[in-house]
Amino acid sequence: MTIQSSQEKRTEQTYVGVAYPRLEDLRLTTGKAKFLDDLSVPPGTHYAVILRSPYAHAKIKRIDAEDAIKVPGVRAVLTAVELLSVMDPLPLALRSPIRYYPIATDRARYAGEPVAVVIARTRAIAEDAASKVNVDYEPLEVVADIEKALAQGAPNVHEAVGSNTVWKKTFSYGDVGNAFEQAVKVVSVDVRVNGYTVPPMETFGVVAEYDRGSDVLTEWCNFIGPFTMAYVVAKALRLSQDRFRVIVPGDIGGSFGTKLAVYPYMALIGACSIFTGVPVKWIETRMEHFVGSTRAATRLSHLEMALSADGEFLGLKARITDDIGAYPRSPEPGHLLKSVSNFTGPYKIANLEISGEYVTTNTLPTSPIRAFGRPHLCIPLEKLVDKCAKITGTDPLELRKRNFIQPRDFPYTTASGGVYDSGDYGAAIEKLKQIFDLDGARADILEKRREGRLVGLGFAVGIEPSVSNMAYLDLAIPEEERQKATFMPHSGGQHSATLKIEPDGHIVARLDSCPQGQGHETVAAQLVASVLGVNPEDVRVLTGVDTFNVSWSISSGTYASRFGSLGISAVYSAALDMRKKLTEAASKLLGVSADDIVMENGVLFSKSRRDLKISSKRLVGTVYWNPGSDALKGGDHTLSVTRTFNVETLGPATLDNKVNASATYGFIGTAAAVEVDRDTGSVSILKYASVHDSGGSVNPGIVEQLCVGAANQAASHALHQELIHDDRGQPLNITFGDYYVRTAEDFFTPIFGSAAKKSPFTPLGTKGVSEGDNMTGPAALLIAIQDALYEYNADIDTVPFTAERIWSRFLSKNNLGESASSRSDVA
Amino acid sequence: MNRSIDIKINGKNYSDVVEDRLLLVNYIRDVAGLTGTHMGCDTGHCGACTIVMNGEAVKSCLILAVQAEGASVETVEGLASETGLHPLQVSFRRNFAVQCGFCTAGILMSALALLRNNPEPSPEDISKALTGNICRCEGYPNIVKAIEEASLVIRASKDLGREPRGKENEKEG
Repeated sequence: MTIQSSQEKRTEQTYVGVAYPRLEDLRLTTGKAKFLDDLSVPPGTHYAVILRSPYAHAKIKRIDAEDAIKVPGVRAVLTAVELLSVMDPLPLALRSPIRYYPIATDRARYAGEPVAVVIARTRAIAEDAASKVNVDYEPLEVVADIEKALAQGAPNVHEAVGSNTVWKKTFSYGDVGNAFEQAVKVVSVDVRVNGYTVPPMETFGVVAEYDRGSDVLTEWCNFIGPFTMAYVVAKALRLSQDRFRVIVPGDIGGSFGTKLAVYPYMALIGACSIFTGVPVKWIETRMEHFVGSTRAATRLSHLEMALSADGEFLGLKARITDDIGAYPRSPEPGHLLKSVSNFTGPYKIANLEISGEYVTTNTLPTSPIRAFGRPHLCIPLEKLVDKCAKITGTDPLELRKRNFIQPRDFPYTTASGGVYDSGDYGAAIEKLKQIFDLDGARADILEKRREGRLVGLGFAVGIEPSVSNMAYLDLAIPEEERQKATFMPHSGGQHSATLKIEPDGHIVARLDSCPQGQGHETVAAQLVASVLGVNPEDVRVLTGVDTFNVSWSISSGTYASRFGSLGISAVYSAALDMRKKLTEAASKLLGVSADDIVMENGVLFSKSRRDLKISSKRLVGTVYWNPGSDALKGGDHTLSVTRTFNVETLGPATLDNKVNASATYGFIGTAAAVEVDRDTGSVSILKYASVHDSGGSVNPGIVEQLCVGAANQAASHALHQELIHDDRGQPLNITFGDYYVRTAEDFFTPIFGSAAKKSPFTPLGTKGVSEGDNMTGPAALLIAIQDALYEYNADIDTVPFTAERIWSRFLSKNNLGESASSRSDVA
Repeated sequence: MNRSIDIKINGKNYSDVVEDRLLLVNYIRDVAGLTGTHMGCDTGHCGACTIVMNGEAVKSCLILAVQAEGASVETVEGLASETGLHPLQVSFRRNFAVQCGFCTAGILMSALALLRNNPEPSPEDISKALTGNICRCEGYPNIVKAIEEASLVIRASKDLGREPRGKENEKEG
């Protein structure tokens, strides 16, 4: 099919808002998709196996690879000694003397840190040879958690720092001191979020080919962006950007944020190819993924709310300590900084103080995991708000509504500089009550409690920011440095789309996104088809990035829910531009003004004189084959447009540390009803509902499927998922057998609701969506479990709240005696 | 040590000399070139590598290629027939049961084996049949719905006396 569709008339936006079946599924259900490991590799490709430190902290005294190198088929055994000849440290976002390489130099700082890379003809040979490499380690004292890292006399993970604190900062907005003085009550909570990950099905992978002829390093990798990291890798490999080509395939087997952290391996495998001169392929094993890829930060938070007599939130104070593993790699300290703009969530809180401390330990380094840092923020904040409701004797939803930013307030600037685009949070809460059947749920809880069952209700709300304005990372840099004329501030978060009509009329859309299951091809095809009057199947959409062939920027990629906000806007704008180009060319060929041209059914004609018309196929043909014609000569009628979409509010950070880290801000409200098993502490989800403000959906089927998955992931995280290590820093759950992952025997079907409030910042009003449940889900479940355990006065302060924790803390025999009196209240 | 093997994959005969230690999944992907079958964990937990071997759903990362000597193997590439997509493929698409798609091939093959053995599965039967398959996008509600719907379509087409599309009624082994 071509631009001249045989289908009946299509008016603009025909496919917008339609749950159109995904175009990607045709190849994904037939085994024809091409994930990274399915791509053909360059001739002479060798395979890399990474030897990793078994110690969490050890001096590397000697690496003996003599026997390994003798194995037939082995090309090289590379250690830091060789690779540092072609590599510099990976630049960090914060100022620090720490040098972060993708391979251990003199010391291994976490169990799983790469120590050597064996390069061989086949993976099996490389594995055989790796077992013959002997490393002489001198184990050192291990700092495995925050408490030990901050203890007096603790060994330093990095001696050059002289402490395990690598960054510390207090941000203050408004007059926090006064707010707390005015407060009638101050309510506080403490929450610990343990390190966890949301591991994707497809593991990390990189194929690197250094070509001596062109002096270009090409890497195929399942990296998701942002391409700031491609810049970081090029820097580390001493390559100018024109000598570093990154190709991300159109099919990526899930990421949930993790695949940003492919970048250290892009540096490592790239260095191996540069050093050896052969193409090198590395596909991560599942165990490597658990010990060596990435995780979310471990966080201790203490939050305090200053309350007025009528329950108004006067001020919020937060003390945050994040354990970010062995190296403070970029984009840390993002776990905290990414959320500074929207730290107060949907609430109107004018006075805010955030104290952040970043600590290194001998554990796996961190990076963004789905809803970067927001579970860490939302769980304590909503627990705090719930506690405020209890203390003031207010209905928890009413207290929230009382403190919400109101519809008339938008666009609303938060105390810390976030610019919220739109919302009607109160209306969303009403919708939530309705889809959850709150009255029915409350009656059901009472009934079950009469039967002696441990059941409870919980609510959580949150802001769902989309797009990442790099400016937020500038907050990590001291103000004095940011004041200097030489300092280059960062900002922006643009998305690009290129649309082309080929000489035969076929339409190709090229995005700078790296989707991992978000259905971008379908959504983009729906948009282009709607504007150009064709069917979605008529539009070939290319995703994945090739930095030599795509209009990309440092913010390219798929992370921070950016597609729903800026990606859709870029594609839609490009389609409008293309329609304008077609209209202008037609106006010249028909000799009428462009305003007079209408496009319908693949025909462009004059509104005033309907006999003046040209088929779009002939129009495209004329532009390509006869641009020298009298009508067209001298004009630019090329049928290729690239549109980059940005939002004006994504400016640099100010010196008083205000920043707007996101382009659009959605809203999510979640309600959960749970039952706790008295004998085991295990939690069943009786009912779960979320209402989402996505600003409107191009494809509601896709939005809903993403949110259904996110809600189940949220419960997996809340109830089960944590990366456990012993006090020597040894990871203890490194397979899908011992790190909890849900199966089809254990899922639940969330109730999905929409309460869209169009964004004034995007042409179709859309915002990013689908990370929300990952933050409000755990928060609502925690509050519901506390409610179910009210007779125990349960204060759940650790995430995940596993059955074991619930049982041993509250339900075990020792605790039964303590709670006997409160129990009689129920009976 | 090397050994010669004969395997039938999706009705086509393959004869090769392979190393004893070669896993069946690597044979299917790297030797036969059928990359629709994926590897997600190396430990047999995730099920991305599930194929149907002699009529049963099998994790192809847990057996050696030489153990499949003489076997008849079906992979996701063999699911659609000349007359069109298999009802499972159609209903996965219709029900938004695919997100990243990395687990999809394995889940389709587990579902295929289930529907042959139990043409009228309850949602509980479907969940049970999928316990060996992990979907990290956690799209299970849609997946279970899609399999249930496919079973209805297959049954309806049989009731109507029409040849069901695909190979779901083919007897194996």
